[in-house]
Amino acid sequence: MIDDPHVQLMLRFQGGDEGAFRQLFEENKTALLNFIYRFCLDRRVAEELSQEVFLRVYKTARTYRPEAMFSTWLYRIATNICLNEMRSGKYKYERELKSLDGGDGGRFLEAIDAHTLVKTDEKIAQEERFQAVRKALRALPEKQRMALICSVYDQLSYKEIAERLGCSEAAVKSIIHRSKLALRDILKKGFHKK
Amino acid sequence: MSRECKKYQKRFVAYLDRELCAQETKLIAAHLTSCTVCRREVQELQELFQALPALPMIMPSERYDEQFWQKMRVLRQEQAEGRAKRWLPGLLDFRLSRRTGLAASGALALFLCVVTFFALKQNSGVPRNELYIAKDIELYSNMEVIENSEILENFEVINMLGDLEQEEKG
Repeated sequence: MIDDPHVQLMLRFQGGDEGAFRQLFEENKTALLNFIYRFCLDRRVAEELSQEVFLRVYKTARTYRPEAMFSTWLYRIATNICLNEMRSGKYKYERELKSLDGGDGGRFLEAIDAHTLVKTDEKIAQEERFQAVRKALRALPEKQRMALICSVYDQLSYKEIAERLGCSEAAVKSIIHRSKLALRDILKKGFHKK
Repeated sequence: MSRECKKYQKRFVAYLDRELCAQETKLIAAHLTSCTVCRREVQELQELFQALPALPMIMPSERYDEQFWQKMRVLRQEQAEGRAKRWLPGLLDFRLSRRTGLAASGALALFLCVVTFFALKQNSGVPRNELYIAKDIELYSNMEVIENSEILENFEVINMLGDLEQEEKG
């Protein structure tokens, strides 16, 4: 049996304990929200998708088997939902991202502009870099972005990322390597345009 | 950019991720001390990797929980309705519909035919000589009855027996 308190909670929920599901939701919602937010870079979309993930957990609880850590299963669902939803074009975020006029990104830039006067050059440069990274992340192909997020933000091993994405460790290694090179190229192009 | 630079640049990501063997790492490090272009390239990559994890962390909005539990209520209601839709009309059809009754009797008849067929098939599986023996036994027992009935049908004997009985009574 896997020594993971969340697996125990999930099994309790499977046995009909609704309180266990509530606890799972409370203990995982912020991390899951951030995982999805880094992928779609839009708070509204991230909130909707993360809620969708928990609804899927609720719906598929009967078929749950404690074969791995609960987080592996949860983030596998999240990855599938993110990739499917983005491909289906439901949220049409790509267009928003390219223009960066609306949505979260736009508001964030406005907020930075408003505070520019009281900030040091160092901070401004740092924020500009973050914005550039945000834009570059958005421009990455979905699977590369997902793998990079798992590696950089969640600090997962290649094996764990492979479990989440449903591919081999060698493939993950290659995807992450390519994503970093692609990110560098995107950023370079962005700076040249400036 | 020299051919050497191009060769090394493909390995810079792995170099920064510390995934290269000691020998390769040494070679690249030596190259970087002598090549300004590659050094800048590595520095840019390093800055990028440092900037990556610094994206801000967000917290769920105030309405996040409320929205989620609202969705959960809708889901539960849908599930309950779905269950009722699946089972109740089925039961009603079974009781009321003539078509369902006919289908059920057809299925039952088919089942009985199949069972009979297999039962007969099983009987025919008995070896032929055993069947003959069974028939012979039946024949022998019948012969006994026939023999006895012949005695009973002999009227001379019956009359004689009747006379003897009357003599005894008289």
